[in-house]
Amino acid sequence: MLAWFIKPPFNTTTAALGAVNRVRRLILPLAALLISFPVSADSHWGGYISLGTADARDNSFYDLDGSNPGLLTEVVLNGRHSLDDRLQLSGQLMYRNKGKTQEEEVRLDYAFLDYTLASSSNSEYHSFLGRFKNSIGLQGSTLDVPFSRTASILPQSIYDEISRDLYVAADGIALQSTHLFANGELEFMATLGRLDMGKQLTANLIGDYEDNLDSKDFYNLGVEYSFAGQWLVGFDHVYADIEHSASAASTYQSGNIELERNYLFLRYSAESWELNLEYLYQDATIDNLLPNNLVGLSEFITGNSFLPPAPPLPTRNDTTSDSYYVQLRYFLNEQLTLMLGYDVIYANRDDKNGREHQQQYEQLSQLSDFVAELPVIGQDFGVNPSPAYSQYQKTATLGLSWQPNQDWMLMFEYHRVKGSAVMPARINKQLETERHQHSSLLVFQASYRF
Amino acid sequence: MPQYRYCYLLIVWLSIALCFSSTSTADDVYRVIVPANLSPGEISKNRLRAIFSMRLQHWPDGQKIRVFVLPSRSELHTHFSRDVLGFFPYQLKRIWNKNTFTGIGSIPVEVIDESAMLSAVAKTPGAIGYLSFTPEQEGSDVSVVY
Repeated sequence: MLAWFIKPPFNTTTAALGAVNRVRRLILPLAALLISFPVSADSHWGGYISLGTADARDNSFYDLDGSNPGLLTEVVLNGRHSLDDRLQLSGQLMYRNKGKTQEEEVRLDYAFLDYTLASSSNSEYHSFLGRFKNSIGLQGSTLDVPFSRTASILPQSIYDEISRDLYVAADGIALQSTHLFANGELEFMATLGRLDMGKQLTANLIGDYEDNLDSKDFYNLGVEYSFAGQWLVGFDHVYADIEHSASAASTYQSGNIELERNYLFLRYSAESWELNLEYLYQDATIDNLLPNNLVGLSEFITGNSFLPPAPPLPTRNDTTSDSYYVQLRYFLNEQLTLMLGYDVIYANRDDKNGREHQQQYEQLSQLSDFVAELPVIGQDFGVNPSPAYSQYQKTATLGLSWQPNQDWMLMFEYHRVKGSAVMPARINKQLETERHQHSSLLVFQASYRF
Repeated sequence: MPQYRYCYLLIVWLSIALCFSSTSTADDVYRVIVPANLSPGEISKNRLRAIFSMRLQHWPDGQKIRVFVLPSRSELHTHFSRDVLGFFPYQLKRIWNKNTFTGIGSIPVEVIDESAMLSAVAKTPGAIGYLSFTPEQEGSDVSVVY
């Protein structure tokens, strides 16, 4: 599912990359500095604890197989200190345990200096230095916050768990500005830096913890316009260049991923209901990074001239994907909110129903079986069929949340899923033949903020 | 196509709902106050919206804006948000939550009632708040700017 794109308008220079590396070295000292400040009128401390359980049926979401409901835990502690009227220091620590799509970990979610460059009666300019959240759609910057997000598990077509490190936070520098107009506000944000990527991302995308993914270039541009308080429209663009170094035991070859994501979003807020719409167009260019078993099979066939010619293995794959969601929230009263959602992802917009993908893998699988059964020289490369439904995912969601006061929130959700495009690669390999076209997920989550 | 029937129904329902979702604008029962010694410049409804959603964090002279609000579920906060700012309280709360959990921007200070609001705004440099009545102007520590 990696992909979307247009050529980058510029390449970061060596000097810029050097600056980003220096910023990275600042992040931990910034966090330590923040902790050292006493609580005062110029500082704020807070956080939340969220405990939940997810019962997955017939799918591998969160790596739960349905036999045992899994526990989902998030604990967050954040702080902010104003050093003076123009300079502010912010940081947040996060503990997450959400099944095996994200290993249990304590992570420095963000730590940055916020300096106000200029302000007037109708505009304001800020610069950020350190690790900060990216500008991604309606909910990307707060996708872990139960009190901000519109669902316990956000639409995976846009905010997929498996590649969250590719869009959530960056280390570097950013500029943000706000401009007032007669009927609304315009916000702009530009980021240059590197992605904060953990080992889990490698496991989710490549299937191996020992491989290494290195963020080379990254930038993020975002603009949104809020009209009269009720309408919000926006566009975000993300470019990431990621280098993959295969380990000795890897099942993939080394390669490169160039990723472009374009988000379009709209929100309309009425007194008793709200509509959220988001669309994501992704272009991924993947160089090499081919599965070893396919390469081995291809080489074996090429090396034995009596066999029919092997299907060509392209060393560069350019894939575009489409995804969107529509979500309607209805406020039954001040405490109860009903949510209906529908989201879709097509991993390859040129093969939306996945038939070509299935046919290709059927042929490769038959070839692999044929080669395995050859007398004397036979080798088993273990190429398995891959179903058409692995190329799309459509999810209908029904949710109910109850917020008895501003500190507590309970969320209950039911997801009905068709297809399996947004499942971790590691899980794909282990459970490829066990996955189902139709599956469901039941989630209950209780959150408390302090 | 039967699957599109539901889309048409949704569009019709949304169109009807949009037509009936206008809000009242009885601004005249609210007073926005700042410390008497502050010169905030012209305060428009749009600027108030940006200040209370913490998108504008500084006065033109560079002083930090310190926003005071009443509890989210108080009647005055609900009406002020809706009638003056054009926001429903849940929208403001979401913006403040976003500021809190992304570290970008600030969050307002909540005071328990209008008396506490008056007192807090009067003694806090760069403060802004709101009341449902006009405070006495003569010798007052606050001035009404909207």
